[in-house]
Formats: sequence, structure tokens, C-alpha cells
Amino acid sequence: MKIVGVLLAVFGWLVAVVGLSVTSSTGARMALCIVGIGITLTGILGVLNKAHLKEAIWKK
Amino acid sequence: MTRCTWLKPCIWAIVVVLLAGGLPALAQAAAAAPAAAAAPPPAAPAVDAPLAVTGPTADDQAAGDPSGTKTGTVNDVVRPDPTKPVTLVDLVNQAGQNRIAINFVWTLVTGFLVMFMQAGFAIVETGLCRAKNANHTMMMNFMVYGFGLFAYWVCGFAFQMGGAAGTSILGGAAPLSHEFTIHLLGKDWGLWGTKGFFLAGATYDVGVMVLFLFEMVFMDTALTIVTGAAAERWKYVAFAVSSVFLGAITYPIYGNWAWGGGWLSKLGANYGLGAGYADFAGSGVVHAVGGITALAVSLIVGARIGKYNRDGSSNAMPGHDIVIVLTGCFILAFGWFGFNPGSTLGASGALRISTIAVDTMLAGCTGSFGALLYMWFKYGKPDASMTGNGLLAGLVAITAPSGYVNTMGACIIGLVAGLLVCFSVEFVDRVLRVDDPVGAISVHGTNGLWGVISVGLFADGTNTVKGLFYGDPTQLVAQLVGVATLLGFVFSLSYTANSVIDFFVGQRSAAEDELEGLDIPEMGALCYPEFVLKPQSVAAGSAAAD
Repeated sequence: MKIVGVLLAVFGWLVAVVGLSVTSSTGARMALCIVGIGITLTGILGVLNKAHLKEAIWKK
Repeated sequence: MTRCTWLKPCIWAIVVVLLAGGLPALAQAAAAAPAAAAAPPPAAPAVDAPLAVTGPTADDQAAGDPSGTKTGTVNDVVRPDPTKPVTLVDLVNQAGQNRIAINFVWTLVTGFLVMFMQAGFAIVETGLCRAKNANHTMMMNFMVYGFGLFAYWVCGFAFQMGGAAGTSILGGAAPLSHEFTIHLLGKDWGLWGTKGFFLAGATYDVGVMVLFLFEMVFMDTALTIVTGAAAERWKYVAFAVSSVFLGAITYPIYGNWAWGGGWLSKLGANYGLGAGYADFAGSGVVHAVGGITALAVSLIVGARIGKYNRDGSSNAMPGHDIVIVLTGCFILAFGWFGFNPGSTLGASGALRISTIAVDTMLAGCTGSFGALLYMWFKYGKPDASMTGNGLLAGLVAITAPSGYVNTMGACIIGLVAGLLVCFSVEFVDRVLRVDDPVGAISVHGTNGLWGVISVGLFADGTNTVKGLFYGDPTQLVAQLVGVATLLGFVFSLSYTANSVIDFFVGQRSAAEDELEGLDIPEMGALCYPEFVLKPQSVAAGSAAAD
């Protein structure tokens, strides 16, 4: 799951960056950036952090 | 007929007058015009002719100058042969030299202020940790300077600024002349610089040296953020390797994209996004990079023993010295006057340093207000450490926009930062359950990102960058791309690198060492040998964890 979290983080970044070439509309670009940031945060805070919490020292 | 009788003499009279006086005058004027056009312009003084300016004599100067009127005269203009009079060439060269000298001195002195921030970070972090780890925490903050500096000299500076040529305000810095670039999606993407390794070759240059010093102390600020978040359980050898990697690779790469001529800085030219990604003094480049790396390392090293109970509820682990915490905050606020106004890289031709300095102090002020009021209303007391963190949060947030916003914008940005740091500390501690003893992830990570976004909102267009509230939404898009890059690229790179370090050397200290305090096991000496410390036993630690 840790790898999935990191991959999601990278994927979200690529959505934001590649989105610039997909459309020239400022609104669409902004929306893609926000979606990309959302995916990235999901990967870091949702998936990766949860994977680390599963093996947290205070749960042992 | 009667009209014709008087009209005819009149016409003749006019003709006579013209012939007698007017026509010669006209002819003269006509002749004078080409003459004037053909006349040579007023002779410019010969640039190498001696100027008739004299200064005080040697006898005058030997008598002393209590009023200061005989010091700093034509005698002090540098010329190839001091025995000969000053020429215009000498004056022009002296003016150029003075401009660059002013900018060198400004940039160096502000860089020295930023370097002193290391002391502020060191005592803030140490004060927020427990006494049994004080030596270890101080030693991390002390040596992060050396590790980072060495890594940056070897390759970090070259990766970051090796393609950033054209810093005219520092005299050119022309030797930093090559950026590694790929062509993708129809655009050029600058990825890293290739000149300046070891500051050797053509980069042995006075302008490059000024730039190196200033950029180096910025890089070191990012590195020292991580030591706070991972304090009290980070193995010293892992800290050393991790810091070298951050100073050599992670920080320089993002720094290049934002400041070294890389692709983020070209979003304006390539995609029509305002002025491109704008981060005046480094809310993103310095603070968010440090804060996001701190998050990555904190995830890997895990929480301190006793921080969380089995049900996930958290325990407060107060620091041991609030006096040095708040003193450190003051030192940092003082150093920030180097951080932000210094980022003009000069004073001559950059008089907005006054606005930047005022924006900086205002945002720090409202940041501390925000945190103080939040804690006071929510918990009934104005919390000292959170108020200090509020000050720092305001300063972190204003770092990127300080060159682009007015004082009202600065106040709002700082106030939001002061509130945001409180929300973020609680979110990180209670929801994410990521242990951050000093609040570095919230102060630098969360508010670094807020600072980057705030450029896209509050930039007033006075200095080329205009945000959403002043009519340009495209700038906000550029800033959001920067945020996505910080979270997606910087975090992933930091997390991967530190996972590799964890695999080879281990990131976390042994449980027995942590419970005893890291001073003796890691450093071999207590910070406060005459204090009576209360070390936890393993059993007690487990009980606390239960």
C-alpha cells in the first residue's frame, strides 16, 4: 500500500502538469490542478499514512 | 471701381515691404535652417579628458576631517593611475562598481542574517523537545549546517543555479550558463543546471560567490526544518545521510524549477500563466520543501514512544524550555529581514526592499495574533509555543508573496497563517496521528503551501505579478501547479530517498535509547549534566503507550 500511496502522489502531480497541455481554458486548468492536488493528498494522507499507522509503535 | 483704386497701392506696398525686409529675413531663415541642421551637435566632453575637479589636498586631509566634508570626494574615485586627474570614464566605471558593490554588500549581509536563523531554529526546536534529548537536537541543528553546505558546494548549487545566468543585479553571474532541458509536449522543460560543481572553473567568479552564499543559507533553512519534526527518535547517522541528500538533490531540483530558470518559472512564457510560478523568497522552495520532507521523514520514523495511546488518542509532550523557544522565535523574526528583503539580491535599483520588510513584519505580527486568539478562545489561555508558531507561520506564509503584495494583503495572509497553523497542528496530531514535536509540518509545510497559493490571490501587480483578486486568474493556476509539484514530486522523492536510507542504516533509534533520552546513547554526553532528569523505563514507556 505504501507504493500505491507514492504512485498516487506522483499521478496527481502529473494530472496537474499534463493538464496544462490538454486545455488552454484557465478554468479547466485550475480544475485539473485541484483534482491533481486532491489525488496527491489522497495518496499521501489517505493511503500512505494509513499504511504507516497499521504498523505504528503505539499499536503494538 | 473705387475699391480697386485703393487696393492696388496696398498690394504694391506689401510687395515693397516684403522685398525690402521680409524676403531677406525669410531667405535668412531658410538659409539658417539647413545650416542649423548641418551644424555639429554641442561637443561632448572627451571621455578620457581630465575633469577640472579637485578634492582636498593632502595637507587638508592630514589635518583630519571631523565634519566629514573632506572624506569621499573626487580623490576617492578609483582610476588606473592615481597620479592623473579623474576622467569621465573613471566616473562611469566607478558608478557601475558602486552599484554592484552596494548589491554585493546587501546580499551578503542579508545572507549572514539568514545564516543566523540557524541559531533560532536550533533553540526553538531544542526548547520544544524534552531535556533528555537537548544535546541530540542541538547537534542535529548544528551539523545540518555543515552537511548541507558541503553537499550544496559539491553539486547542489550547480543543479539549482547552474543554468540561471543573467543575474544582472549582481554583475551578471554569466558563468552559470547551462540548463539541462528536455523537449516534451511541444515545450522546453528545464530540469537542472550543469555549471558550478565545486564552484570550479569559470564559476570561480565574484558574482557567483555572492549568489552561492545567499542560496546556500536558504537551502540550509529547508534542511533544519526536518530535524524538528523527526526530533527525539531520529538516528543521527540517518539524519546525516538524509540531510546530505536533501541539500544535494531534492532542494536544488525544486529550487532550479522555481528560481534557476527551470520549467516552473517558464509557465508564463510557455503556457500563458501570469508571470510563471512566482515564489519571491521561498515559501515553497524553502519552507514547503522542508515541511513536506519533514512529513515524509516523520511517517517513516513513526511516533515517539508514549505519544499515542492504544486507542489513538494523543498525549501532550511539552518542551523543556519556553524561554529559549520564544527567544528563538525572535531570532528567526530578525533573520527574516534577511530572508525576504534580501531576496531582491540588491538594494541599488530595488528600493522595494522597504515594502518587503514592512510586509514581513506585519505578516509575522498578524500570524502571532491569529494563533494567540485561536488558543485563547478555544482553550482559555494564550499558549506560548503556539503563539511563537503563529509568528513563524505568518513569516513563512509571507515569504513567497512579500515581493508582490501590499500591506493589507500581508496582514490578511499572516492572520490566515496564524489560524491555519493551529488547525493544522491539531489535524496532524489528532487525525493523521503523525508525531511532530515542534509543529514543523504545519508551520513550514502547510503555511509554505498557503504562501505559494496566496501569491496567486493577493499579488497586486505592482511588481509584474498579479493575482486573482487583482484580475489575473492565470497566476493562481501557476501557483497551484507549484503546489501539486511540491506535494507530488518533492514528497515522493523525499519519501523514496528516506525509505532507502531506512533500509540501509535504519531511521529510528532503539527504543531503549529513546526512553533513556538520545543524549547519552547517540551523543555520549548530557546537555544538562547537573539536572535531575526523569528517564522513562521500557516498562513505563510501554505502560504509557498502553
